[in-house]
Amino acid sequence: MRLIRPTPLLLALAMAGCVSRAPVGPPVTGVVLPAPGAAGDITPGGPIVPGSRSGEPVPVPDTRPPLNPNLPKNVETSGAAAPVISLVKAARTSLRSGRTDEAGASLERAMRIEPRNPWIWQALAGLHIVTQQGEQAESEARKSTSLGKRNPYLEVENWRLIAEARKLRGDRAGAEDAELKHQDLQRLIAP
Amino acid sequence: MALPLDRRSLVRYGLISLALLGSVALVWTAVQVALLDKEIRNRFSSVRWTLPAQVFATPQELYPGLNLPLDELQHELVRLGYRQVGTLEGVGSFVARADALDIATRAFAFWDGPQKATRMLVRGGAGGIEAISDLDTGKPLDLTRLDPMLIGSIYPSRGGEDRVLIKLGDAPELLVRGLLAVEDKGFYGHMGISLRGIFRAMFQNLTSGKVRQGASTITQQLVKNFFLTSERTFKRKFKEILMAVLLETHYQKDEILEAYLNEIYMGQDGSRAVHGFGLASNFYFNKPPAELKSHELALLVGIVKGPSQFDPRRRPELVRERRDLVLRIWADAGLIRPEELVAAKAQPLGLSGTGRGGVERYPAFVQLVTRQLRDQYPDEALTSEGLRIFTTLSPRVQEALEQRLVEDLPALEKSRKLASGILEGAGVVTNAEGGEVQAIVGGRDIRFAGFNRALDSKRQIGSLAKPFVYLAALMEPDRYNVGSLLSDEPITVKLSRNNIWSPSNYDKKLHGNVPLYVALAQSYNLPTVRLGMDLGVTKVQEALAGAGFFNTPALPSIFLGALDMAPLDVAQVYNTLAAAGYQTPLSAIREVLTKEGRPLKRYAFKVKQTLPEGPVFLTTWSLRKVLELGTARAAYNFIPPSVRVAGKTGTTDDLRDSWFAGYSADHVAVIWVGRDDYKPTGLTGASGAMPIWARLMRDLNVKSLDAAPPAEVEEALVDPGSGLVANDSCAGAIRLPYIAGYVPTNRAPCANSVLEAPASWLEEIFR
Repeated sequence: MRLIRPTPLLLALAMAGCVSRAPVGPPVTGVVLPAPGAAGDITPGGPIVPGSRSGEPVPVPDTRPPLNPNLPKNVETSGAAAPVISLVKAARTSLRSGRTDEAGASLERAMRIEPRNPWIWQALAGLHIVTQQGEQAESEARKSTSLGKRNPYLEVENWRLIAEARKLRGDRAGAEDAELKHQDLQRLIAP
Repeated sequence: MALPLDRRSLVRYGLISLALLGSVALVWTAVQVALLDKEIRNRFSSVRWTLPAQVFATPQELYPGLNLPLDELQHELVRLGYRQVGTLEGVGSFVARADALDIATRAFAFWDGPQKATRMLVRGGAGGIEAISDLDTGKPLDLTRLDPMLIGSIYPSRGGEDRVLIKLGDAPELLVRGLLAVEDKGFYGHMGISLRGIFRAMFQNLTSGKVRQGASTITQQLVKNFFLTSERTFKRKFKEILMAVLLETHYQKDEILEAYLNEIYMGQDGSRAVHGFGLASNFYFNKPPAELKSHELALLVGIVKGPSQFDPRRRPELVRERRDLVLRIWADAGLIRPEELVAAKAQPLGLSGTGRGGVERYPAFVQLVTRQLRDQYPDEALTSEGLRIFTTLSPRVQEALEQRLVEDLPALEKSRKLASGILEGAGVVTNAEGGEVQAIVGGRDIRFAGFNRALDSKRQIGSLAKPFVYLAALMEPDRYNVGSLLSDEPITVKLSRNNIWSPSNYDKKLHGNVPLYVALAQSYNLPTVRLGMDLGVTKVQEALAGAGFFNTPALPSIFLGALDMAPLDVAQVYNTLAAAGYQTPLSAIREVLTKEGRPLKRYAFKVKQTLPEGPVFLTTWSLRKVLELGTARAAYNFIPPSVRVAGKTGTTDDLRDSWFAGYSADHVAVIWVGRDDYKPTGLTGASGAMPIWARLMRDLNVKSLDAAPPAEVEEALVDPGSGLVANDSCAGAIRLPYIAGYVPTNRAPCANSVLEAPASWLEEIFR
């Protein structure tokens, strides 16, 4: 298998779980946060089958509860079982040295233990950005968001991963859209 | 004029001819010997290098917090051939106490590296595993795994030779020395043949006038095994002796002995020939040779003499006599101490209970593995290179599925007064998120490696197709929601000029206007056909394609399941529903390693969102209603009421096929019951396959589906009679999920006035 030398940015993404603190622009007042994973998130050219009308944007009332700072911010604080945490850490180590196959094996092993842990799905998305499998990475980031039950600390990275995934597929507009959602969430969770 | 031949020239000519003839004979003999030499060398190297691929189940992971009751872990150890002992012995043994297990695990070369043999303490109870620690260092272990079960091998269909390689250096010393003591004391001294043995045999054969006596060395036996024929002639014997000598000139004694350990015929398992001590150890005792005790080794050495005659499973008394004789020879030769002789003779044969060792236990699953591998590897690589194939089979899940079909089909026949053995069945279980096939049963004769109904029996799926009609509808939230009222009135569909289709409901009744989710839960045909006709065949084809089935014909009859699928195909499409619209192609293989344990190929997890989450959630929600108030209500006779599961019954015309497909948070399971001759069984999906499915889900102790809707779904209080928004004054109002932004805005009549008489479908549900 071809090894892909990860760039620092890709690595940062693959290390998903660490909420990024990149400087962001001034807060924009009156911004309505999109409900992540809402029907409107599905863009043409994404993995949805054609013919799905729910692929069109729908007005979604923001029923988001106020930000709860006690929400888990990474896999270490997510209440995951100890072996899951060590497997995700092992995957990060493998990825840092470019051993993507090993990283995949560790993450899949973790997933068999906790198949619905959103942080594992996020790490898988990060891995598949590194291996340049954009379509799969976006699907995994979406699944992570869905399993995360409205955790902005999780979603903020997922949107960044989705932006990267769309860039890989050459979907510039979609990538910009995802990047905006990422930035909105950055502002929300900024201290 | 003829020249006169005098005597001298006659003699000369005679001599020349003789010399010529002699040379020809010499050349001929040399050519024959050379041919034999080539033959024996080819065969010898093929034994050393022709190895069937070995197929392993998924290893049991062990970690604190794992929901695996200790008694089930103990069962798993027994399945792997671990011995229960009083105090911990060598690898492959365990000690069971009330709240803990001491386990001496086996070393194993996994994909991601070797795991060494460990003596560990596992604490826990009925609730699962609480703590694991290393018995030698006292350190806690946060994640470890047992060695995986060897579940089969892929050997050539012709010849059918199967073996598990054993190296001379890894073979127990008692096996090697004990074998020589019984079969060939002078092995390290002779040149392939024993002259004394041959003379003795010749004398006896001459006096009896027939070829009777064997008297073969290990080398001769090996040669004989290479060219297995039972013919006994002097010519063959001569050839055998010649080849034995040739073999000895080419190879070292240890090489010959190692080839013998791997080549010698040790028994028969159906069409499969068991060759060598490695596989024999597995076949008879379900454990590796290194863990065999002296009485077990003696049995193996004993049956070498004639595995058909000394078949331990068919003639245990005879084999026991033979085993005890071997033990006495060993004691006389000083290989075992006298007290060991007494103890070993007191032991029972100790054959593994399954009658099949660990190998060939799961032929239906191995068929799927072979098929998936054949796409990538040529036959020869699979049957000769000793590949190590790691699969997704879960022995625990497989055992549960097998038990259901083995027990429930005869019970069904009995309760339905059907002839015994008339029903066939098949089943598939996958894990919902990973798309891994965990168990397959291809027929009620679960060890039969023939026709595999789970993979190859493509039958009409009946109402199992309906969820995809409803899913297609729910993907148009501006037109349909779970509360939409559908008309349950007769409909005729013009298929072609002279072909009019008029479906009817299974109960031949009409139910008026029915909410969409009730129409699915009660499996009404008329609203389904109306819905399908409104959406168009293409939309339903697309929904099925999104779920992973691409061969749906473009006919309206697909709405009611005139669509042929194998149980595995059904598992695929329901798996995509269970995974919230994220499709993972079902797989049975995780990794392939070379015989040296070097990673060759990893089958990485693949996923793609192919269906939108909101509509899939609404479909799953409606499929939960199938069990809560619909055709599969009786499932909760078996499944605990707190566990949310979703599923669908399927019945085909004249009750030919009885299906049930459904899922929990962790497992997808599909069950089919029917007859091979396509005759009616008298069973609906609800009376045949469903109870089997429900008991299976109970046995698997499945996890409840997540009730919380995804972000794009919101709930509203609705009056089911009108499908409109209700308030507190509406008796019988229910909460229904909608795609966010598509909750109906009109108020129900009851929200303004008094309650009307309930509709007829309501009465049926709450009866």
